Amino acid sequence: MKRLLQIELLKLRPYKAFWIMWGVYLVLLVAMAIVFKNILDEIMSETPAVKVLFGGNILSFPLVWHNIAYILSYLHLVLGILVVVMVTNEINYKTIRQSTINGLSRNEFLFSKVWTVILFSLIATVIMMVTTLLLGLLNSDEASMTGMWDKVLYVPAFFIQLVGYCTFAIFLSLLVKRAGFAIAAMFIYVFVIEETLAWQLPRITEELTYLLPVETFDKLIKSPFRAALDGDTLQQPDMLAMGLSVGYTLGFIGLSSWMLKRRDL
Amino acid sequence: MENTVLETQQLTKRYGAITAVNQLSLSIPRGSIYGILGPNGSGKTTTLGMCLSTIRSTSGSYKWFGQAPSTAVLKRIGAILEGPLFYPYLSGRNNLRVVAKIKDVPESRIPEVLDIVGLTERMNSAFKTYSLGMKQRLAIAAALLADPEVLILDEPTNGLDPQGIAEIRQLIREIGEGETTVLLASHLLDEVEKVCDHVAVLKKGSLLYSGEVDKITKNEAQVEMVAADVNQLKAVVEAMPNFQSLRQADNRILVSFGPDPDPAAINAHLHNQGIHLSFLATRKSRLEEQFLELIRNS
Repeated sequence: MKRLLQIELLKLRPYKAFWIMWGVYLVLLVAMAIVFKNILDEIMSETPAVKVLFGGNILSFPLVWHNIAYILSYLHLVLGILVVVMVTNEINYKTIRQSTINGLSRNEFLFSKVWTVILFSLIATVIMMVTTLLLGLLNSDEASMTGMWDKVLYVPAFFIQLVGYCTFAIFLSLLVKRAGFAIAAMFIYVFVIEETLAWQLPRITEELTYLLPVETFDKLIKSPFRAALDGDTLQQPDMLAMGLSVGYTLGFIGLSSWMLKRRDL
Repeated sequence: MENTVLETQQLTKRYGAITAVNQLSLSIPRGSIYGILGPNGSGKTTTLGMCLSTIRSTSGSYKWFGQAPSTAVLKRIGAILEGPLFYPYLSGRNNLRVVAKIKDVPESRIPEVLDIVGLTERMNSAFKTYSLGMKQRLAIAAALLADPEVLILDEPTNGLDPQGIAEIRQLIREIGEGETTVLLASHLLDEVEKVCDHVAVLKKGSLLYSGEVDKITKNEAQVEMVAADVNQLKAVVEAMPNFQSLRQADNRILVSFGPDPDPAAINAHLHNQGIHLSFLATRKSRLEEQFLELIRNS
């Protein structure tokens, strides 16, 4: 694992696009947290009823864990694009072939990407956690501090969700092979295909939506606004979705491995 | 120590109805400079791709150093297939660091190989800024990193200018003089003849010939002679014991006496018969003619 990560970091450290993508991710992350806070401050001062609806200050503990995790989960696709670029570059430059010739097995290649994605997700999760802690500490009164860690499960949920999105991006990249097509496929699949199915399937039965991998990742951190409207202010991450997400992630890795093994490079 | 570096058994690759490599059985002796010769599309790269695990064979098998294929075995090989493949945005040195990490070679080896191929000065420039010759040299440096027992080069002089070609060939010969076995795929007869000691000739994925380069050239050596009276010369030559065939061009004759003709003995014999040659030379029929003949005959 250490060797595979080192190989990947040797390629990424001098790569400008890599730093630009992370820069974009961080700027968006901070911007979203600030904008979100300002908008909420405004809403809550104008309509105090919102506070009641959410069961407290939206940016105070423990609600802040859920709210920030949800808002920042929209940034997963930014890292997804970085992952697509990272994988399709290898196909485009044919370095995947040269690496195999040099003695890197197909699975080692795949896992060099998987470990990198896990490292990315860990870093993003730590950033998310620090941001949330800061916002929480700034906006909590003594009463809410007692329940500070009540919704901290949204942190591992955020991590699992991000790893899920990124392994999906790896799988799509290996399947489609071209960066542009893979990114387009990712957006179409996530926003058109799964959205449509996630909207239609519940007409039969709600449980069917667990068959959709990305929808299942999304269920880990459901919309807190929706939860508030439903009066479900104690909501925790969906545990079934958490188990299934790990399963889908392993499935994407397994499919990628199967696909690579059968392929001429 | 195993004397055969690579052995293929009935190696076959089919793409639908097309058979790119057909039941190829080869054995590459240790220490040789082995040429795989064939026109474009004859299956050279596909064969090497299968032996380097990038292409899945349809049937057949191969062994490196008598062992089943594995990543451990690949790390002992240095190979370039279809030109230099590197990360364009990384410097030459950083590209080699990636290769060194994959092959479990210490980074201290990098300056050594950069020096061998003469890229030390440009090692910190991005790969995409290199000329084609420099890219090819970096690829050879990468292939040499692990101090490989076998070096595999696929059309290493493709697209290079004459000076680049001469440099690369010189480099291959120097490498081949050591312990390293060199496997060279090329569509250039001249290249194989100049660089290799063994050759396998492929056509449409099938093996036409394999063996020592010297042997095919020696077998067909001809003796060229000129004398004042051509007809007398022909008559005497045709009567000689190991005479095989004769071709006349003006007042010159080209004679085949089988393998390894001895010009001194021929001269002495003709002298005794009262014929004085004004010209005598042995001609190895060039590999090119052999090659074209092989391809035509099949």
